[in-house]
This record gives sequence, C-alpha cells and structure tokens, in this order.
Amino acid sequence: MSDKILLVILHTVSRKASTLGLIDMGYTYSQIALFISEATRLGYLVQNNEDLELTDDGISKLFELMEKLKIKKENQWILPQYSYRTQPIGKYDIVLPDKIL
Amino acid sequence: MLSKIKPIDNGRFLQLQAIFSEKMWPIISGTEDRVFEDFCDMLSQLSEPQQDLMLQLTKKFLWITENDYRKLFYLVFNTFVRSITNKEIARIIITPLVAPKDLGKIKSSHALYYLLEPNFNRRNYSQYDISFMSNYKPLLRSFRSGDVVCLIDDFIGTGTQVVEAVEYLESAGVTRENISVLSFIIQNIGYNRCLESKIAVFYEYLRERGISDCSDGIAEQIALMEEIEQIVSPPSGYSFGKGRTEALVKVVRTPNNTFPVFWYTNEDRFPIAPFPRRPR
Repeated sequence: MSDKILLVILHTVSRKASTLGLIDMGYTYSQIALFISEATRLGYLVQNNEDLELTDDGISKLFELMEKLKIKKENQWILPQYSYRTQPIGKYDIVLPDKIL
Repeated sequence: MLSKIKPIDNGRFLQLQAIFSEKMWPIISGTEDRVFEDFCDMLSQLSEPQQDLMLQLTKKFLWITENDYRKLFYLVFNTFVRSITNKEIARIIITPLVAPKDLGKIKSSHALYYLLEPNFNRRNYSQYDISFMSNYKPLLRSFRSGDVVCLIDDFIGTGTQVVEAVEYLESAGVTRENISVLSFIIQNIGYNRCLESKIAVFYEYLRERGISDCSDGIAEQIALMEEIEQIVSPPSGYSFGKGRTEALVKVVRTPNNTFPVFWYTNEDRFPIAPFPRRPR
C-alpha cells in the first residue's frame, strides 16, 4: 500500500467518513477491504463496535504522512467529493429556475 | 457517468466483509465473479435501514457453488439409500425432476444430472442396480413395479413443480410410493406441500422463510423489504420471491423464489444485483 493510499484511509477514518470514497479514485471494494485490513495489521486502525477508529500510532502516522507528502494543515486538504459532482451543462442550454418569483 | 450514490459507511462495509469471511465467500474478485463488488454496489442503492435488513438477510443466505454439487448429491443419495436398506428394490432409476409444462426445456436438474451421470460412483452402491435416464420417456417405457424412481434437483421452492411432476408420472403408471425426490435444498413451504401430497423427499438443507419465520421484528422487516421492492420493482408474482417463498438461496442459477433484490435488476432504478439470473 502506498503512502498516499494509507494517508487517504487514515484521513477518511479520522473524519468519520466512508473509506469507500476511494471507489471514486478507481479502486475496487475488495482492494479497499485489503487496504483496511493491511492498515489494521500495521496497527494504525482498530475495529471498535463495528466501526473503524484510528489508534495512537495511526494518529502519529497520519501527521507523519501529511508532513512527508507536504500537506501543511489537515483542513487544507479535502478529498474531492466526486459523488456530489454533476455533469457540466452545455454552453447554449437554457436553465430555468425551479421557482419563478 | 459519475455516480451520485452515497458510499456505504465503514461499519456496514466491515460487517459485509465479516459475513463474507465467515461464509468463506470470495472477496477478491476473480475473473468471472465480482459478487463482493456487486454486493457493495447493491447496498449503495439502498437507505441505511434497508442496508441493515440486507446485511441481516445475507447472514442467513445459503450459496451453493457447482463445486459442491457432487459432494452434496452423495450426502442426499446416502440418506435415500439408508431409507431403502431393508426393502426389496429391483432397480433405482435416477432422472432429472422436470414439471410436465417444462418438458423439452433445459432445467437446472439436467445440469445436475449431467454432472453426476458420467462419473457416478457405482462401486459404493454395488448391491443396487442403478440406471440413469435423462428424461421421462425411457423411464416410462421400462418402469416395473419393483423400481424406485429418484427425481433429482438442486432446489425446491414452493413444491408445485414436484407435485406436478409426480402427478404426471403417476398418470403414466408410476405409483407415488415408488417415487422419491432428492434435492440439496428444500424450502419449508415445499416440504409441507410434499408431505401433504405423500411424496417422499430427501434433502440436505430445509430452509425457513427469510423474514416471516423470524422470531421477532417481522412487521418492520416486511415494511423495509416492501420499500426495497419499490426500488427494485420486480415483475408481478415475484414479490418476496416467486410464491412469496422468501428464499435466501443461490445455487448454480439463483432460484426465482429468492428475494428479488438479490437477483432482479432494473436498468433505470436498480442496475446491480449480486446474484443475477441472466448474464449482464
């Protein structure tokens, strides 16, 4: 698992977001399952009440990776939320508002 | 197209992985099966309470692969053989179970038959004369009163086809007492139907209805499944599985008695099901 993927996994877990956001980066569900079990094996993640949490090692690793990959502040670095993106509309399309006042 | 589907959360993703590991279902996609991927996609199409119901049902799900067929057949056949130990049997005739309306069609019972017939281990049953007959014609021509007919199949749902097949054979001169039905799996509803009709059945798995035979929370689960079926929109007659069987079973081909959310796809509203009955 590359540093970048580990960073994404640790970051999403720290944010209580779904690690399945990696699907939008082209990974499959089974690959994500492997990344999670690998990060758990390395001691960065722990399964708690059927949820994922960072361990203390995981928190230090997250900061270490942010430094290494030159991400200055945690909140400067936001994962693209592709699931909220829509297709751009055509140049000549006419858009009418839902409500006309 | 970019998906606007909200991914399932970490907790449910872990639960699904745990279920797959416990059942030894493959998580890593092989060349042909991507069941884990499709399960995740299927769940993403549902709300969280609906996902929870699907996880509960998946825990109870029985998936038999073609690799298990021979082993399972011998288990069921041995049960049958034990039941005839002290009886005078002239011959055991093994034939695929086919309802009269399906004569001439290829059914899963034929697949099972052709898997068994060439390599059948006769040596283990040397005290019996065993004949394989691929359809009812040679059977009806050669049947004698001391013979026992074994109708074989992988799955029995409501039991309607069993009753129809037995009645058809009976009308052609094979007495009901000389017919045994051998199936890997039988749903409770089908089993009771056979008991009422005095048809001998041998099986490995006797299965309850997925929701209605639960110990509690039935009304809530039914309401959730009805919501799910609003999205899946299966054709009429298949709600909660054909004959409302509520099966949770996948054999080589998923029975249509299984809840349609596991197999029915609908291009617009529900494009992915993990165990489709037709090639995608």
